[in-house]
Amino acid sequence: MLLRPSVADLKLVALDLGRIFGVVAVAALLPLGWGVAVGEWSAVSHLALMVGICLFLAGTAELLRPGSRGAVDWSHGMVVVALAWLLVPAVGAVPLALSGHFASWVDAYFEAVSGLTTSGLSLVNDLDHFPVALNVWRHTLHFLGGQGIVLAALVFFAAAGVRSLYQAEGRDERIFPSVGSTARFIWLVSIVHGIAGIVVLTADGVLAQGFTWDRALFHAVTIFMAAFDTGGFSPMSTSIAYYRSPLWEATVTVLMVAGALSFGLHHALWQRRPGLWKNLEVRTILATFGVILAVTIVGLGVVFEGAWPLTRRALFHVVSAHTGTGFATVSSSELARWSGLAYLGVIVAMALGGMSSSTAGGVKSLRIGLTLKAMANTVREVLLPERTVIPTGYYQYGHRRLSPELAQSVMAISLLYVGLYLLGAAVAYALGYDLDQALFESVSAAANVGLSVGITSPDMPLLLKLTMIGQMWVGRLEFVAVFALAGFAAAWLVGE
Amino acid sequence: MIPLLLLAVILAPQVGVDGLDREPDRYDGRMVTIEGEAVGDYGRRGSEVWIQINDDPYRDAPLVETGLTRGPNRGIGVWMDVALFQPDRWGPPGRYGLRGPILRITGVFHHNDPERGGETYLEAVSVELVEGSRRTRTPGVSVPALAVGAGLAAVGIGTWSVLYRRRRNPITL
Repeated sequence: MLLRPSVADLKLVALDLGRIFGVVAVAALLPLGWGVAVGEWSAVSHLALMVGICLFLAGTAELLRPGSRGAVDWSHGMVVVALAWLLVPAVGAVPLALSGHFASWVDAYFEAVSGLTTSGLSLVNDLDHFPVALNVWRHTLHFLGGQGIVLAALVFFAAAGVRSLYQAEGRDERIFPSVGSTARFIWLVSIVHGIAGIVVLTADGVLAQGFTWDRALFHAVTIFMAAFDTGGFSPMSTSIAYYRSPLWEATVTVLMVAGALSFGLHHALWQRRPGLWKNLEVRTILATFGVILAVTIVGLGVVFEGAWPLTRRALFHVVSAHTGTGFATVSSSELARWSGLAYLGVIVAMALGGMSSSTAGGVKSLRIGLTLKAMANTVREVLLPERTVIPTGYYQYGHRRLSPELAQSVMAISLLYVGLYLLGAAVAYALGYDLDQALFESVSAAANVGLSVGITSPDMPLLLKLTMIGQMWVGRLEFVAVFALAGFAAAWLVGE
Repeated sequence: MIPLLLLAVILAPQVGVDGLDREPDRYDGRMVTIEGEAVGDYGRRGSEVWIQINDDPYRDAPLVETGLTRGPNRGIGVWMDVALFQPDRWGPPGRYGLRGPILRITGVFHHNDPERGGETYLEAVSVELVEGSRRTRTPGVSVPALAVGAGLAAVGIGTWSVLYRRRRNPITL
């Protein structure tokens, strides 16, 4: 029998959602200040309206605070996170929709979902004349989503029961004993990378590319947020191809890789902990990256002449796809012309994704490694004599046991991702797109990548836009929080 | 040599960026002419300059002026010798609040050029200014949006601060 959620349950959910909106209001001060500095008063007004809505929701949610916080259970955290990733884009889309650069509110919502989920697919019209302040806001959404919007809230409002919120957002590593300390470490890593990345990109923009310093800073800040948080938005319509600079591409590549590393690995690297190369996840991502890069280079051999162009293009796009960033240095129609192995390589890289507890999307390397290990164990069980003891351990910051339950859950999530990829492809195919292009775009959306072969555009069918919004949301939350929300809704409707 | 080059410039077919993007092999290594708006930044790098030329529905009037959503931008990178670069005549490149200069550029189209790290671009031979850049009409402060935003913020902050003070100093009878 399903138990209908009590009023106290709903109040707790609303209270936490209000706090998350408070964080969004604080984050919006960056684009708001930028807009004031460059005198974009229309964008400033619309951003101020959004900040007002966020503060209203944050303040009035406090009215619902129960006398004592009460027991916050696992499902409550999941429901908060699932709702937050749907509702924050709804408010975040307000200044985008009012800008007039989106054909409809659905398009603006699509953009905000894509930003928050660090997907990077875009429906904006005339991006090259888009207000700077709103461009900074699009990229701030990447930063909020990549860092984990709930994680940001944790830093500000250390409260009981936050662990379930933290894990619901797809982060399961506990670097420090308390979740708050872990959250602060994650922010520290991001700030250090941010300072280094923005300094290098700004210097390259001014000294090597001839930009004015204010424009170089604008490009550096937005590209940093999109690269480190594996987002993929770009302030210019031609993405990273706009910069035509190997140094810029190299810096962006380092930031994309840093963003796709788990924060646990960042901590271990900072501590110079030995034995990192034994980690199953590190080995898996190095193996998949190496194989996919080799396959893509072979596939692109017919497209690019010479070792340097071939390596440059293949490396950048495989890193961009595998980390789930979605930057491109070629046009979407050029990408669509890549055929055979190169096309396959990019699709597989997108589908696999980066490391768990990172800013990347996709199935994630740890799940791939565990799935392969579980499958290998099963094959050994079949082939070897019955009494043979098969080791079921793996190494991930220490020796761990691959229990049947863990193997099952990992395989289930991996299969769900495959299903999500196929679902989007089926919808796009049914709407008349080529199957290979439909699959590319679907994987890009569900794995929160953002590379496009041209399907994603303001004139694509509404059904496909809604499907991709759902894919980005479900893919980002790695299914569990979405199922919890569905269960919560079902309990509300039919529970007793 | 110079008359031959002049002849090639004069005879170069005018193509859209869309055409170059759809059939790059057809135009690879050929002299073509494009016309469009310079947007973003002028990337002056010593003796050479990179600019982006957009040949899309917004080249004459950006969206902010017409209010018409006509799809994403469409542009190509143009490489030119600094001798062809005349920013003082052209005016600033297009961005929010600015319609960039409309340039008519003739040059050699390169697709995945191995000499330049695999770039696809137009190597300019001649650049003609069609129309200089100009400021565009941009909307000013939206008073209703600001008023509603300020009102909502005041209610939110007010509610929060009253509740916060009550919790800090509970009223006891």
